[in-house]
Amino acid sequence: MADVNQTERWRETGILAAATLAVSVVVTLLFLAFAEPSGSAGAYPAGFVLAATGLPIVLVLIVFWFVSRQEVIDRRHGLFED
Amino acid sequence: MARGRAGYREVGKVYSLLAVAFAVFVTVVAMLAQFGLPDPVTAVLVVSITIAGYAVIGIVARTLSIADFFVAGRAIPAGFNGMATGAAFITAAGFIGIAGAFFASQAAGLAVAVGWTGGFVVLAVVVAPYYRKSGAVTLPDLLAVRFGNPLVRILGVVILVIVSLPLLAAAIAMASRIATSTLSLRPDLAIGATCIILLLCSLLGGMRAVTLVAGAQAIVILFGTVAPSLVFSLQEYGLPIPQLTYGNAMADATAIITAPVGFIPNSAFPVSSLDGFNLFALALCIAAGVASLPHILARSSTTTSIAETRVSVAWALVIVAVVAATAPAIAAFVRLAIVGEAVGVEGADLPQWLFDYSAIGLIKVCGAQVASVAEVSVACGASAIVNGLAPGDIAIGAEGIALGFADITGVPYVLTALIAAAALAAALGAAGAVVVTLATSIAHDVYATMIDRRTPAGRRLIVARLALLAFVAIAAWMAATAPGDTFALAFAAPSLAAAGFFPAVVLGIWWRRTTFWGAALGMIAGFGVTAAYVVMLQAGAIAPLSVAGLTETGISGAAAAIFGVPLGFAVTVIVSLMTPEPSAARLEVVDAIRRPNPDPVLDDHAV
Repeated sequence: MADVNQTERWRETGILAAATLAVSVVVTLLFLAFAEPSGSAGAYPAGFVLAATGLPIVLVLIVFWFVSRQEVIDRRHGLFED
Repeated sequence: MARGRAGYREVGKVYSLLAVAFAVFVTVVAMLAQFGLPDPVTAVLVVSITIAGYAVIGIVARTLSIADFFVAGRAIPAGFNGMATGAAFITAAGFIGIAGAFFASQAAGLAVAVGWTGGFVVLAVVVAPYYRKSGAVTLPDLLAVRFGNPLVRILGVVILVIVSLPLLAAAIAMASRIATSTLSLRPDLAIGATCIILLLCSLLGGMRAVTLVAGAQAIVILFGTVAPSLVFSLQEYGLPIPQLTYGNAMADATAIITAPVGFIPNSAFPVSSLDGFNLFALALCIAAGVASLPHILARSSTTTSIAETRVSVAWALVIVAVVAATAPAIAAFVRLAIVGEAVGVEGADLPQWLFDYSAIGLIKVCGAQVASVAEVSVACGASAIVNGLAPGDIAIGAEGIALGFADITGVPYVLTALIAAAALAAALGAAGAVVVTLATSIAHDVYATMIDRRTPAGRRLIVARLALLAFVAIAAWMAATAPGDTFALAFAAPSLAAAGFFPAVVLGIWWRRTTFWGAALGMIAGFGVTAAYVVMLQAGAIAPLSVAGLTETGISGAAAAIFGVPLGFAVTVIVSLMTPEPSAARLEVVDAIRRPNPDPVLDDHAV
């Protein structure tokens, strides 16, 4: 019983981990792609600000999302430890 | 454990009050400064109140329990532990270096920021919960438990010491450098004073003490990072959110003149120009390093549960993200002040801070330290006095940008003191976490498991404290005699940790087929190649290795793991496949590490 839970839980944990890392990498690359230095003098460097300030915030949100999803998985399999 | 939880329940409330009290104190000092409190007194007041706070917490948190000393009784609430992890991660060189990197180039800053924040994503998802579950006290302990052979423990201890000792020495050197300039101490006295503070925070209470002290240090780091740029943002743009207004500052600076201001590479960010490939490699190496640095991982073992560990890493990322997102503002505001006040003005109008910071070597004008307008004329030629300096004539180091922020941008002096306190907090926070990790590893991995297996807890505690004293002494000696090499090795520490530990730890957790020989040879190959490259580079025995088509300038030492980590992975996988499958007992250990609920397969090594 516990072993069945464990196998299934580990599969879901692996998928969640892979998904979290993949999303993080894609988001990071997207933000960096828009961070090209703006050519014109005096223009607000929106892409750079988005990358330098926005990316850390988005990564924080991704990790908190990961934490909550992992808790859901663990609870569903009765393996959540309080 | 129940006792521990109850003991720390109030910790959030107490530290909220401490944060408020500190804010009130700084505000009062700021008001006194307006009424004529001399600058040196302001600096001493702000910096010494924080140091006194750390010392008091360190003494209050003294302990005779080995579980407290090694892993803070595994009882720290997640949010608080996250703050402490953030303080342990952000070294003074990191605090100063990320602002310097953003100043040197947008790409360099982004590379460091991505490495920092991405590393905590990897840590939360791939490593930290399983480290906590394993019951390991140190990283070598985790490897020994997973692979069931003492050789990986010995290898782990060797790598841990090589990685951590330069970090400790660099933190001591940086802390004493800040104390020298802020409190006007003699350099040798400053190193001694730094060591005494460090010992007060760590020797009596071990991990429990450095964790509680690090909570206070995280508060000071956040204040010191955000408050100065927030005040400037409010003064200049009427909006107290520097993370948004620095875009305006960058636009305003380029509207004045587009040419970049020079950057002096120094110990905090030793490279002025890394090409695209090196920056890409640097980001990856820092990210893998965050998930492999022994003292960061050790901070994952102090929470009450595995789920709490994940939450803790998420909160650590919040602290790191705030610093990473504020660093570009610090760089942009300094650049705006330089091009606005020092570029293109007549000699007589040059600001005083230019000469003040040039006198201590943090600003150079036309490549020279200048103390007066006459010396500017000598260095740059007489025409520069009439027509003004070009942006490229002025070069500033990372320490000038971060520590000199308040003076250069013209915000009140009390903020200069606050920044110094924050840099000192970052240095002491990292030093505390590193030195306790080193001491724990010697007491647990070397003494208790290799020399005297039946040793009572009391003797392990004595060994840990003696080891701690010895490491502080060695690091202080390194900081005093060879600061240059120390900083270079510390800058490469994430790379070295990643090359040594990342493949073995990640594969050990996520690939059941990983064998002892695979892990051991992977560690030797990855770490050996990376360490040899870093050391030979530093000794000047070889030139940076250039890779045709990728980088012409050669791989920087800090990015050396870009080859070490893949090599470690390859060797681990190939050797694992060539050696017999792990025994059923080993596989059971892997499954136990993966299973989230507490079960008796692994002993808690901290008891």
